[in-house]
Amino acid sequence: MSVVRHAFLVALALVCLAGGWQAAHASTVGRVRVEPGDSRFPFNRPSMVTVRWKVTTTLGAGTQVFSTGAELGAFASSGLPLCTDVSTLNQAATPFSSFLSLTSLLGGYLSGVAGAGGTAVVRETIRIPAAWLLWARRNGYTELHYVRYFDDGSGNKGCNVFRIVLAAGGSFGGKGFGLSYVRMRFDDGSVARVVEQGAELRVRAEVRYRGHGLLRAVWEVADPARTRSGKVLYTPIATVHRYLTGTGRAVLEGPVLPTTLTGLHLVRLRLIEPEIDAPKLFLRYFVRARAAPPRALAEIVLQSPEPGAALAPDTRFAWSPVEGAAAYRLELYEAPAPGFAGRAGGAMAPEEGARPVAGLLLDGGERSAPLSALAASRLRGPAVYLWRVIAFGRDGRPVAASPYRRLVVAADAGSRARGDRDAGRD
Amino acid sequence: MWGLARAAALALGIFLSAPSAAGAGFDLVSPDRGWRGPRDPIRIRVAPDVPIEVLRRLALEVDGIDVTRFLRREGEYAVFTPVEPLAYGDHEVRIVEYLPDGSIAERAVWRVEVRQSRAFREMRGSVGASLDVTRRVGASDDLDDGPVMAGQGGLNLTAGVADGEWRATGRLGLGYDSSGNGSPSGRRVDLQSYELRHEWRMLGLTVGQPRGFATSLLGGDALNRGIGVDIGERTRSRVRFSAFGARGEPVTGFRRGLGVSEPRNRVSGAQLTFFPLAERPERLVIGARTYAGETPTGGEGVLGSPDGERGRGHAVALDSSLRDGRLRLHAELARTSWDPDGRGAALGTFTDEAYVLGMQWRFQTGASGRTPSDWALTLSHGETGPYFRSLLDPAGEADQRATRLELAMQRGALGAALTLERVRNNVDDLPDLATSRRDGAALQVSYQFVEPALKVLTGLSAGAEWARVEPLSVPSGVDRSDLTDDRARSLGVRADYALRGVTGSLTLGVGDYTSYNGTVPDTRSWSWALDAGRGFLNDRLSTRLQVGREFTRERASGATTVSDQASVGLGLSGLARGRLGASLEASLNRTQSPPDTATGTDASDDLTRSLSGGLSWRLVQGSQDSGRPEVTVGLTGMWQKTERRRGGDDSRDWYVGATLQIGASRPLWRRPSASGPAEAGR
Repeated sequence: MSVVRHAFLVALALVCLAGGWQAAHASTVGRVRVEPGDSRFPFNRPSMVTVRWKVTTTLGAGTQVFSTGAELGAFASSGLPLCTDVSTLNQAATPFSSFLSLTSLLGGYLSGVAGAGGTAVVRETIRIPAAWLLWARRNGYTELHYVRYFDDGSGNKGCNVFRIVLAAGGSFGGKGFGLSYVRMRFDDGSVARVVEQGAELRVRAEVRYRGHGLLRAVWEVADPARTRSGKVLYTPIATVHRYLTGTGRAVLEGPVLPTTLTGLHLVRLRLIEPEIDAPKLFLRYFVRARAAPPRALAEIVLQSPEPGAALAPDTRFAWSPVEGAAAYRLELYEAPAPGFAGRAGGAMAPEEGARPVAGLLLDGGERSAPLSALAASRLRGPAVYLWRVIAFGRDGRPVAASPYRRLVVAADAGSRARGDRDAGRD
Repeated sequence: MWGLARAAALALGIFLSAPSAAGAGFDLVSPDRGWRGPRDPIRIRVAPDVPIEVLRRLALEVDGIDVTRFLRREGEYAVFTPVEPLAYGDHEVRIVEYLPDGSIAERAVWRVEVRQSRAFREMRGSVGASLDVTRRVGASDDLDDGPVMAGQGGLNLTAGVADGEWRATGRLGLGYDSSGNGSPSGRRVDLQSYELRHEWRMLGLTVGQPRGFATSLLGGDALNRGIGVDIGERTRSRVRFSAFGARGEPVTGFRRGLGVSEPRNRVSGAQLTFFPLAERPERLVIGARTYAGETPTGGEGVLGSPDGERGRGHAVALDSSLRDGRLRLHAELARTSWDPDGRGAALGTFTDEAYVLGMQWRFQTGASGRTPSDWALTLSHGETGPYFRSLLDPAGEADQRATRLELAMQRGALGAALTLERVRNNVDDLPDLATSRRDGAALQVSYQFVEPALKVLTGLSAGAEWARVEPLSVPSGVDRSDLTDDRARSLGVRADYALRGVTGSLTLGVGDYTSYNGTVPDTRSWSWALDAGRGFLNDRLSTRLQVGREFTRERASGATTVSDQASVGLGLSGLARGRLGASLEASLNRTQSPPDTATGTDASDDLTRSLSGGLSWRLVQGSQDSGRPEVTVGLTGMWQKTERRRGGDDSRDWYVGATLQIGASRPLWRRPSASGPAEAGR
């Protein structure tokens, strides 16, 4: 531990001395600014932030400035390095524990070319592991300092500090807005798909954020005409403007993805604000041709009972006729129960793979029917059921189906309907 | 005389029964070949001594569907021929009698097995594949680099075999791209997704995407690739168990085979679920879950960290359904141990807990009327400690205490839900950290018209949200202006319409943001979106239009951020005796934003216009029944121009190619159609 600490201090002192010596003799990197200068991060989660280093060089436009890496420190407030000019870093950093690997530079190589006025703008997405923040918290620091030195090739350096301020663990305390985690998935939860031409395919992104702000992003797709060549070319298909404040996580429902062209497609979420470089934030899907178009299932229009009506002894289920129907099947399903988070009451389809709890098979010439006593006996109130009608052709294949409708069954409605109808039979 | 009466009864489609004992007087007749196929009639031999008054009160049910009206007589048999072929597997056939007092008595019940063949109860499969070969005719400089010939394709394979007490199923998706863009490792042919599953009695084994935890504080409802085993899940037994070993990060493609055997970045877990009230109408579920492993939060399709974290988690949960399902009580307690740097040496392990308590009450009002109201009142309270972190839920929240109330109502086609919540952080009241609170409210209302309102509207929905975040305590040394102190409000309305064959929706939204410490500009935002589609010529020609704008304006400075998106699509198919097809899609996207002094972002104004199209001529008509491939030739092309009007490099790209496409799909074995909710009309 102490060897690492001493090595770090020696290296830091050498860098500072070299920078100071250069500054005294040949000042070419005039100023380094960083925007934003600081941001607040929940101390218990990894985070990321994009900053802009603005490096001014006296060598003028066209000069390339570069940084071989960043250093991380935790300084007492009185000892914060002030290298906004070419001043040297003459305060001793409080040594880190060895896990931060301070003997190697963080963040990697960055470079930019100075524009008019001799200022180069270098963008960097800083990934902040939770370990940094937890270490600071455990050791009593309220902020960390991410220091970058820039060189313009003359050997002279300038630097500045991005302050990583610790905030409480919940996501919504700090004023800064940032994303720490985005996960894209197709609508079935997978990360890669092979779908048939014309299939409906959707994508969604689960986002974890801190602070609050306007999320701006663009859903983009590269279709086969844009993936066949060496360069992948994305086309925007939908935009996202959404205020995120408070809860720390959100789901962004993406658009229906194109499946007209066969071949490889890529879909990505390009983040504009907060601006984060995320080269791996995309999914692949292949669209394959279909040999023959699927038979479209016609829609049966339901007539009665109305949506959400109560089951009564005189309730008749009625629908519009379907040409060529040999039989109809009236089906009743249990309505999915509302969950503890969000899905309130109104689910309009049974759960995946559910089977009817009751039903009635009817001749193709019928347009309406009451529920038989046997079918009604399977309903347990008070409850909400979903019902629909399917028409079958002479070959036994479904030719049409209705959408689902809600049916409310009171506590004794099933038995009441049954009793009244049985009385009629006898 | 008796024989005559019996014959008359049978002629009316009524059959005879001996109701004294379940099954007595009824014999289910096996098909002559010894096994039952999907279309085989269900024949029931009726004993000759059943009174005729009983015959009139009998009914037949198959899988819960009353099929009495389709019974017919064949001599001494009552016969039901399935209208829709029965699915392979077990089915329940039940004879009941309506008793004079109005009750229903079961007279006979059988469980019949429908098989595909003598050898297998079920053997199904399908394969679908296509290959496109494209020759570049011309392209802009940037797109002219790769090989002149390019190929892309995809393959789906599904199969299932079952007999007796076992079942094996599998599905596989492969992609082909000659440029290697279709694979994270640059392979031309690579695995996209797959799942293999074998079941034997109560035991199930899954390779691919194993079953994770149900809803839990630990997360884990959607696992990555791995292996899973479960006991009792499919048979719905009283005790169920499942275990998994899954990858820590999402992966695609072949990775040392199927990608489940890599030793690093794995998480393993198990859950045990107990249903002690299986025989009673009340429902009680007691579950215990545990996992341990190492995961990065990065991976494919993920913006996260590639650094690994180690950890473990345990949870116990209780869920109950009481009073005819109207009252639901839920509780869960979870504990995690988290090593954030994955090595455990420097920082050690952080251990913390979380809990949630929930209650839901469902009731009806006005049930005696024609349109009753169905209500659900949900109340939940939970807390997660500052160091609580589950590797199975990288986006999960921590260090907050939340109370939520939701009231949902459905009355006919009208649905409404009101949600209120209060959340605060810094649950341990650490004195050196600021504490903040969020109050939120949301109201959603929707209505679906049975008959279009104003001859146009088919549905309406609206939603309003309000959220207020403010500091509760600010320790010395912390600048209050560094903390969130704001209010956000939004209102959205959506109208679905159908007008002269055109269907679509119109969406409007308005938002308002106010910062009370002046650190973020106050803004107001608007958005609208319209989409419309229509088919012509028996849907052989279809058009689709989407256009929308999102607009945000800073109230003090007037600076605006605008995103415009528009697209028009045209599809043509089935012309020239079904041989000619064409598609054309034009889109425009423009994003304008002002400079941001806080982040140093410059102003931008980017405009992207694109055009994609294809023309195809079918040479060979494909057939799913015979497996004959469909062969198509055509032209495909694109043009795209991006202008960066506030600085930056413009780009203009185009590409035209001639394409040969071969596609085929066919069932490997025939199977009956089964119109479950997934197959028909969903």
